[in-house]
Amino acid sequence: MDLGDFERDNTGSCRLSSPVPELCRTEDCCLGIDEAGRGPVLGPMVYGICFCPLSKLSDLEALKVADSKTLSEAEREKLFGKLDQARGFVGWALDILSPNLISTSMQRRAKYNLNSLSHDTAMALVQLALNQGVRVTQVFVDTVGPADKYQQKLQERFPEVEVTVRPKADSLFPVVSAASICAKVARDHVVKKWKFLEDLGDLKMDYGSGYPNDPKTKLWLSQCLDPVFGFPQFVRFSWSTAQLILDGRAVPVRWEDSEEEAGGPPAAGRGSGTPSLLSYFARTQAPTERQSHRFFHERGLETVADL
Amino acid sequence: MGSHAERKRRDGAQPSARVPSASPAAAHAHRESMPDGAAPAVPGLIRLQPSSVRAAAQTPLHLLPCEIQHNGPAAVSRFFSPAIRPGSSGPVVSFRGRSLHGEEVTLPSGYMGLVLREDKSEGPEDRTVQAIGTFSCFTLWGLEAPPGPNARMHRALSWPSLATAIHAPVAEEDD
Repeated sequence: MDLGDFERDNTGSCRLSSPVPELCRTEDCCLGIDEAGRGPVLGPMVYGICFCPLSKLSDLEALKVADSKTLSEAEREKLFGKLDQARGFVGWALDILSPNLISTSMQRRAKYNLNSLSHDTAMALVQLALNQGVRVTQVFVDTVGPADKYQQKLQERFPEVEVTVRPKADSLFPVVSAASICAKVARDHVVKKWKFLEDLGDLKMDYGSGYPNDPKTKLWLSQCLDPVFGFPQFVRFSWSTAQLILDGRAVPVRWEDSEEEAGGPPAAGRGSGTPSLLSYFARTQAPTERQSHRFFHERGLETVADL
Repeated sequence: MGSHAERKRRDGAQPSARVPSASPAAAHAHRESMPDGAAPAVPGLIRLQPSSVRAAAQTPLHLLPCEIQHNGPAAVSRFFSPAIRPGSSGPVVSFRGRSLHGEEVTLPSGYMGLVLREDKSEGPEDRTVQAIGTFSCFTLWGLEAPPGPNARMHRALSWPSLATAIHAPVAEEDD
């Protein structure tokens, strides 16, 4: 698996794909979708698809692919090697979503949540296979969220294809297991070879599993914290674990789109709504300073009388 | 970012609205030409050490579309600068997990940007500031989009040329 493209720029997303086996263009195929690294606060999330002609399903099963979570890293590597050798009838494609992409998507002005990001990525990969001429007739998807809604969404997008969304699909359908292996192998490689853009000095990269509940991960997060910049881009800022550490130990940052502070609910008397009745009886302070002209106000120009 | 001249804003309402680190010369020009003639209370004298301006080196500067409630050094060169990437419309980076799009802004000609630091040892009456860096351009960052030609900063920087024009001596008309 050549991850060079992603390593050159690990701030966005990157797509990798195997050559499409000729057989997949002439025969009906099933396609499996799975993801790796959804939970961790560190590193990328990888989406994978794998496809194979229905007539070759037993050959795929014979490779003894299984849910990637039940396999050791070495076993996954070995199985990925086997999938690679089976290139005559197995194809795959991956989307690597960098932690920076995840953070910036989830923290956009118009929030883009992880589920939407996942669904869109999965659909883009199915579309890729279709565009490459793969005769996809069945799609099997592993999900952690509610299966029926996701299934409906996929079915509407790909009406020609029979879609099955199922929790634990990665252990039920070999084509999903194969997809999960591809995705997990890519994530393992990326995490292991992560090139930090930031200069973290002699910080030890002993961050454990990357899962928020891992004490090693938590400790590492607080060790790499910079009070102004927060974390390196290896960290998903949008995870609550990361946010809690920032809230507690980094300097506060207010964005132009942050919610108004200290306003409370815009209910009676406070905030932007109707002014309190009492305000009409209050003594109004005569403005002591003349407002500067709108020209200056609009340009954010102020008289500087002191430093 | 973190420069001394960033300190004066306290209202927190328009994070990207102010001219960053405007040189005293620019501030002075602005004060003199306030159209309403309201003279601000005269503060104590602030001296800029001329030798420090000559000694100060060019420094890269970033203006972020947020208010960082911090006044002091920041690890810009360790965390921020190395993460800047070329994007389709200019540099891109992220800060605290939010995406920023940048734009180079050049100061109006005839102006020089200074990053100032106050020498705190002096008494309250006589204050001295030292230039610890100079700049002729800076990177203006917008949240999720480049600031664009309508950004307040661009409009603010159009003031000096306008000020020059309206304060230029007018040739006396013959009657």
